[in-house]
Amino acid sequence: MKEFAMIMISAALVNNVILARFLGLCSFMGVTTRIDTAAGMGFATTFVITVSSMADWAVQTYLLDAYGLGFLRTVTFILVIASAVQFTEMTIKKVSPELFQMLGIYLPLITTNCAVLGVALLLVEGHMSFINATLFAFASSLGYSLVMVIFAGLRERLALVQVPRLFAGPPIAFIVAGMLAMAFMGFSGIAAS
Amino acid sequence: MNATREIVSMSQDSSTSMVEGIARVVRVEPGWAWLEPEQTTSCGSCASSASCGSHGAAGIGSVASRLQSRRFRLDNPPGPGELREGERIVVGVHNSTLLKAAALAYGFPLVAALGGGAFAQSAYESDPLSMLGMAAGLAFGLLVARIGAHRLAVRGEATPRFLRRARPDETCK
Amino acid sequence: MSNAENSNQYSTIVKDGLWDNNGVFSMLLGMCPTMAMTTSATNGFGMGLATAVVMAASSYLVAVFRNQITTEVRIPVYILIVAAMVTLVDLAMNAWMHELYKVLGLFIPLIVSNCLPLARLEAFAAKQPAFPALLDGLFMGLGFTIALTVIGAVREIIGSGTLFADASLLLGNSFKVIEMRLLPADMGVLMMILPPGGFIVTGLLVVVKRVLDLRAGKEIQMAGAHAV
Repeated sequence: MKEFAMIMISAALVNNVILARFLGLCSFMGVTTRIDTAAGMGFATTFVITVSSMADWAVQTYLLDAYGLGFLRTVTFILVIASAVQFTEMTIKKVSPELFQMLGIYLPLITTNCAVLGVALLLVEGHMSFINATLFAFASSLGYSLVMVIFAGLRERLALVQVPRLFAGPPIAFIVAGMLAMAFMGFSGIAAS
Repeated sequence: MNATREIVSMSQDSSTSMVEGIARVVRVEPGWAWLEPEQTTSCGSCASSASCGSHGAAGIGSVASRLQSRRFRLDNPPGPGELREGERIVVGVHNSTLLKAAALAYGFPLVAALGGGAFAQSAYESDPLSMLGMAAGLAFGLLVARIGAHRLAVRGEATPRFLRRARPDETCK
Repeated sequence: MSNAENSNQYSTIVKDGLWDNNGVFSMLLGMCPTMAMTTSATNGFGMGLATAVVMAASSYLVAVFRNQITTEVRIPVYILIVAAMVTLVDLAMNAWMHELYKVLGLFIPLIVSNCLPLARLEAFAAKQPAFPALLDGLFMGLGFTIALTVIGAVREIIGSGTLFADASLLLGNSFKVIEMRLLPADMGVLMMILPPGGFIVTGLLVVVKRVLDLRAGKEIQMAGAHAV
């Protein structure tokens, strides 16, 4: 039990996907202008990362390792992730057209971003068991969502402030993200794994 | 200054409680208008830009084809405010509704799936059975999502509301 | 096209890729490797070169086959081509540049999800003949390399006082001559090599590019690929 908790805290906070591992920065910068879209995007990405990581683990264990096709890892993972994303959309459309319509208009499309592929690659390189891998993926994506929401809140405040023209837009956002990264470095004292 | 104007308009956006999205009218029928969302990909760049799939050239898995499958209808009563093909409008929905929708569609099924898998794992200790438990949890979660969405839709909260016509320089954000 | 027009187009491609439309500072694409792999100038240089090779090769291939690739399947085909090139580069680096491969680690396969190669394929290589596309991919990649090397150099100098440390280890013995130490070892600001430094240095360098653009009388790219 304690081992699971340590895996989750380490994946979500200590080695945060965005602020420590630098994955998923494109959507970090692009989606965080409003808290609500960031939170919605966080939910969606959590689902996609967890589901596609489980699928990638299965593909790696039962297909690539079993037949010695390790070099096909990049190509297969991309295909699995793209199919997982399409599959998610089709499922939501089937289950509830109203939800699909609403999410389709207001949330940005999820494409293969570095966070999804990166988490999958991290899991297989760590040679984790299925349970550990699922927890790792889930916790990583929760950490991702948390940071997106926090950063969105910061940017909403930033929008109300006078910023020098040269700094307006991406530069000041990066600098604020750097400060957030500094704050999250405080978690590195929770060692263990 | 351009930057100040951008900043001022941002503050107006976040002080209302509506999430806004831009959509383009693609077809007009008597009394209805079909709209297609103008979307950003999670890359951050606008879908209508050249770098992520051009409009009209929709291939499998391209951004344009996924946007086409997201077309929706809106009331278009005849009269002076009538929408015409090619116009860009802003539609909105309440913050809380969007959050509830995202949690229902993605959050709850995932948690239910993981819960089902964990329960099966601790009770039966076998891999195939825990995958089955996960599938069962997922199915249950999706069922709850369907019911919850139906309740949202019945109360009329899920329909996008026409807010205004988009200004020419208004982007997908 | 006459020879004069050709050379004009080529010089535009080169200038655009290297500076005017620089992938990192102007378009703000490909942020992930930019911040993660610039802890030193050598790492930035190595990462940039790997990306440049992938971009040049995939641009060339897409341009050569651009008439055979139908619009319906073009996105999956582009992604597969980039993934195949990345796999080749990954295996080659594992074999011949093993030290650099260990440092870059995860980020070589992650070139596939880097927005920059796909954006250039879609915007340029799909509509141009083979040679201009190759040039565009190559010089966009070189511009990316320059950006990463500069960011890496700034972080390395302020962070640990050296410049191009470990160049001989990672790129080969002939590069030993460029290793240098510019500041005493204990004067380094450790923050610069850690994640926060990556964010802050990138932000500041975007400002520097805007200042340079202003001085040259060009319009400032306010938004890059996203709007705030």
